[in-house]
Amino acid sequence: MIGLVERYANGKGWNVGTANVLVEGTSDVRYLRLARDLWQRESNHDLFDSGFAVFEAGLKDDGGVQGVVRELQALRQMAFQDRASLMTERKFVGLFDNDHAGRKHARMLCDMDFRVKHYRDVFLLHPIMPASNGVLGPELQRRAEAQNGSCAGLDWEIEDFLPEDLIRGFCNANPGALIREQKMAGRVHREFTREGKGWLQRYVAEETLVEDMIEVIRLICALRDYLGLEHQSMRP
Amino acid sequence: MSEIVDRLQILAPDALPILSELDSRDASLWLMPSFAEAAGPEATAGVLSLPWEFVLSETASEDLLKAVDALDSAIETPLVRRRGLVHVIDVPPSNTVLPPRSLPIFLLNGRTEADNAGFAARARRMEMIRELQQRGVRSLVVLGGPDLMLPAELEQLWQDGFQCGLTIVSDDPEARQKITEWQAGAGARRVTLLPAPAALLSEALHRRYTERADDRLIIRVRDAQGTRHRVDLSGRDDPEHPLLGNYELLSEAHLEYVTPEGLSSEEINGFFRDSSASWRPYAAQMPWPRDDRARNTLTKALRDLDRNGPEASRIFYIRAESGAGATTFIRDLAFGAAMDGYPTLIANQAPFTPSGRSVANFINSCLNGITAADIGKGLRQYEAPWLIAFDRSQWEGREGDIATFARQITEAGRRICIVFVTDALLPVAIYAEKRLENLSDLSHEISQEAAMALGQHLNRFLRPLGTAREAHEWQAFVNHSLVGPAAGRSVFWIALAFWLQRQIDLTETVQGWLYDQFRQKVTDPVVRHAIVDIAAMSTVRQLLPETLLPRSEDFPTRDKLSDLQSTVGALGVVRQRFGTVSHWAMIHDQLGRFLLTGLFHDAPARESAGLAAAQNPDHLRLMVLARIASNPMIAHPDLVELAETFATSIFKIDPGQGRSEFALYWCEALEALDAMPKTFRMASRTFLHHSSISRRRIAKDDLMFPINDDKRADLLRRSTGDIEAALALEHDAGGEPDLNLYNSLAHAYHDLAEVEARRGTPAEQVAALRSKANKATYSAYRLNPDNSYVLEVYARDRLIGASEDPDGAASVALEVLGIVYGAMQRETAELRRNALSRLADKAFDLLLRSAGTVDDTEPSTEGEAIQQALSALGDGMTQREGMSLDDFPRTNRIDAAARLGHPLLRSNAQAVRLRYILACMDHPKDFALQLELLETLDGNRAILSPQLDLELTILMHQRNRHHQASQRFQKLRQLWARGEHYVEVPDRLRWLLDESTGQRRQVRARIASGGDGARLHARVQELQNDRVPFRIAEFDGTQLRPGTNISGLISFGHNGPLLRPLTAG
Repeated sequence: MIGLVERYANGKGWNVGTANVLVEGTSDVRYLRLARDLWQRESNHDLFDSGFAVFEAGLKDDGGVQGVVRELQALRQMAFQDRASLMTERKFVGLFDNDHAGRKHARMLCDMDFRVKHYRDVFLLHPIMPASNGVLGPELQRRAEAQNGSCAGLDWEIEDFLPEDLIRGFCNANPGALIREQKMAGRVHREFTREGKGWLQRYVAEETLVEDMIEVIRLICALRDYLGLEHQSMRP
Repeated sequence: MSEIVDRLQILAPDALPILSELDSRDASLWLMPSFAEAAGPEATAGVLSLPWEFVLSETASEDLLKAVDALDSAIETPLVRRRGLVHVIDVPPSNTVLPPRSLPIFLLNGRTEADNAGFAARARRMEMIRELQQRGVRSLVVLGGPDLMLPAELEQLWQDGFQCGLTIVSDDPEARQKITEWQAGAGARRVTLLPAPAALLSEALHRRYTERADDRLIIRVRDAQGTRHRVDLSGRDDPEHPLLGNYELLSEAHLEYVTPEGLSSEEINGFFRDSSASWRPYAAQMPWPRDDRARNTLTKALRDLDRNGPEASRIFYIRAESGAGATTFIRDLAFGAAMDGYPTLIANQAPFTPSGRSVANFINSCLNGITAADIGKGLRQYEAPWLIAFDRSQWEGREGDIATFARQITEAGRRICIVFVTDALLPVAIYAEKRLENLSDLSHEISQEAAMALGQHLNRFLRPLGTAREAHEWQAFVNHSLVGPAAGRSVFWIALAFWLQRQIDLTETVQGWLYDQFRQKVTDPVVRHAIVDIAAMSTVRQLLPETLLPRSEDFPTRDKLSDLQSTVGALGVVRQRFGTVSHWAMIHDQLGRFLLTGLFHDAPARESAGLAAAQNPDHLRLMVLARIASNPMIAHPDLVELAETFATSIFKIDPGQGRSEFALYWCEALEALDAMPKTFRMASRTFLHHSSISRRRIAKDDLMFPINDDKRADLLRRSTGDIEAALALEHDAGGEPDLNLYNSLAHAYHDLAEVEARRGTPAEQVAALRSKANKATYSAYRLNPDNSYVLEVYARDRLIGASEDPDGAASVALEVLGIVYGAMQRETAELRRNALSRLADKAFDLLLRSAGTVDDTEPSTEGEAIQQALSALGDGMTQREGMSLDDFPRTNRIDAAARLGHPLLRSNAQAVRLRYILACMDHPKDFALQLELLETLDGNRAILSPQLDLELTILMHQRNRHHQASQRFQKLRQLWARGEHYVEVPDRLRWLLDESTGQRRQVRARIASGGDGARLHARVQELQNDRVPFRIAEFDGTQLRPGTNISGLISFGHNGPLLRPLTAG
């Protein structure tokens, strides 16, 4: 017997697990998968085990912040119905870029459904993703804001977890890809052109070593932590 | 005293078993000539005048019809209030439109001998008798008289499977024998004989019914000082179109104080079963006060209305998880408001389309009654605000209409607060409407402390009955529900009700218990079928009309359900009767889900229910709902609202608007809609429109619905066809307006053109489709150029046209930006803003594609000037998603405005409009500039929309051109009266300002003669002595005689200026 979530996900080509993270675009998924592959080779830990899954809200215009809002609402509703129908329980959380649109839409999700809680069901990317240790919601949000207080207001996307020298190398090789940089307390957020983002992804896939992906690996561990999965033993 | 012989119950001659059925209008009458002759015309007319559901009469004697004509038809009489006016009908029922509340007397044989012959007469008679089946009559009384002749068709009806409770009134000595013979032939099981003489029965029945029918309507109303008074509002409702057929008005009788000890165990258990069944538990304060903040907010909102008039009217929503106690919560709020003397209406659960105008008319009528009661003598004029409360079902699928509903009432000058219940996940239409405010959120999450406090509270009511739960029992229940195995199952409140009634213990779940009850105690396949149908309808929060119950061969299904009441009651199944239509429902949608989930997992039971093909519980639900939708009886006019709900809500596929319940089974959902009775489908604009929206959404969303373009084209063709068919139908008030249909039609043709272009259809055919889209767009635009959805489709149409005409690209980009940003200034809903901003993005893209590099030299053509201005506006903006002009750098806006003011663009209306929008943003108090710009557009109907016209008119007032402004407002008021226009006064123009200081301008006025009781007029010196209305209630303590001078402020509404006290706002 197949539940609503599974049927829906099959139509989309998603491989859903029981603890799922919905991200804005394909590039987020690729970075996360790359980090998982590198870390699995390095440490033998599979960061995507125990039902953990990551997938993007859609392609191009169908993805992005609005895609996360749309898909997360649909998936949570279906998961709720599946649970009521005594089928596999699945959890879905949304992960937004920490930029104007991401913050706005994360808030919108919570405004539209009071059961969706900030830092329990929707998360923003931060340079430091705090450990939850079982505490979610306002307390985790407080921790995230405290630990990232020095760079409050700085936009943050998954590419910003990549190390400085890797990005420098990329920018040198691809002039015109970078639009602007925003620096705060030693952290740098970079805005790339649409094409530049694609080039960076390919560059990283070809050039990167596991050391370059440590921050992304930590991000996955944090997400596993938030979803109540084993993470301590997997951390770099 | 009675005896039962051969399935015939014989009552004592003075027994009157019909009285309670008359109360609920659950009985119909068949009058035989023998009875009428024996009782005489007046006595017979007296019996006919009682609140039967309807009457079939075999006689139409002149004397009888005269006596019926002479019946008291005064609307304040209890009988008229109960059943409306009497309508004597001598034509087939299908040729007659009856008001919602009425008593039809069908003359089976026409009025005269001549009417009683030929095929037409037989057809009429048959159609009238068929009403018994159509209406699913539950109880039929045959007035047989001393010479009993049972109607010839009665036997045939029973042989055809029709059954109902049958009572025969006859003092014929051979009545018993005649009935027994008839029973044998007809196969009728339950018949009751009342051997009363006609005259005796007529007199006794009429007297005893009217004696007990004291349904005076006395409500509690506060005066200006908050003192409560009793006011009799009997006869204030329209007897034929009664508002109180759809709403309940809380009366003094409901508010009478009840002590906790005064509640019986039946009332207490009844409250746990169905909290809407009685007001007495509320009067005893049994509901647990869950959220004092909500109550305080509502009380404050009602008090604000005292001071600030209809403009302070508020609309609140309560978000609630299913089964989390929203019904109790909203009823408790309503009860509290009524106790405080705020007249309170609560909508019934039966499906109906709320009409703001009907409510306004009712309130107006009641206010006249309150004024006549002369309460609060010597105090200032005062109009008590009303509370209108809706539980979940009324606005489901049409949440966007609630603001219109409220506007229709406030435009009539009435003060209201509306509270309604909605889902935990807000429908987009509610989220998008800034005027709707969140009052409270109700979930199954509850803290341990609160749960224990709840236990203590409820024990006060349970203790007198000896059913109180000990503290350790509460603790165990709380532990089990909140932290134990049931935690997270989201049914705390439902489980609580079952546990308190001692139906479940902590070893079982509600779901398991419920299904076990169903499996073990409901054995009749028809009753099982009926309960499954009721459960499925409850999951979509609808009641199942009794006429849609599955048919039973041996015994009416409704009677079987009633007989099983002790079991079905425990399942949460209840019967409710609104007007003359009965419904069945489960008290929580969750209970319906539990039952269907249980059924799905019980393979043998599922198979015997004909649902073996179900793939999961939701698919099973869909199958059951589809079966109900295809029932031919759903086409009955009484059930149109419900039938439309299948298209507007139950099977609606619109994931973007949060309607995706059956999206995964969209094919079956559409098939189910197509399988609904054709007579209904082809006559309902709403059905055609909403089913076409579903088809278009499916065709549009290639990610969620991965189908090929051939299929998409099929869906879109069907969609356009259905909308055109809807447009060909006459528009009924309250139905789907032309504007919405044209809007959808334009979208559908555009989408079809896109798909056809992809499929390689010849260019001229694609162009023809675009042309149809274009035509529909302009039809919508003509109807309402301010509507955000119309503007969206219009802008889309312009952009598509421009991509085929690169030379005009800059102008189109300018026009689209003007339209889109103008609409965004008024639109606060994020999703609407996003839709509009995507169009703005496309306009910028169009500009960039067509312009190439933009030089910063002196422009030589209009096109260059536009390109320069728009480039300046978007300079450095890489991300425009969801942005309005507010989010653009101010320097960009100022630069763009300056460039739009270039001499080359002075007469370009699109440039002027965008400049005006920029001026409002960056120079909000520069009324001279704003007026100058809008006056440039004056006379250009294509651009000066009613919204801009309103702003221009107010700007004239602000610039002291009051005479002209007054004339323009007169025209605007005529425009508003002619059609639906969604305009609003921007905040910057809300008050008449002193331009030199920017402060609100104080004015002096002299009261003029005339007025309507709630409003007077005054001549305002600063408005060139223009006559301006003001609300009497706002000028507290002032002697308001003609000639009196008063000071005040001027606020502007869509109808013009209003004189307000100096303390206003």
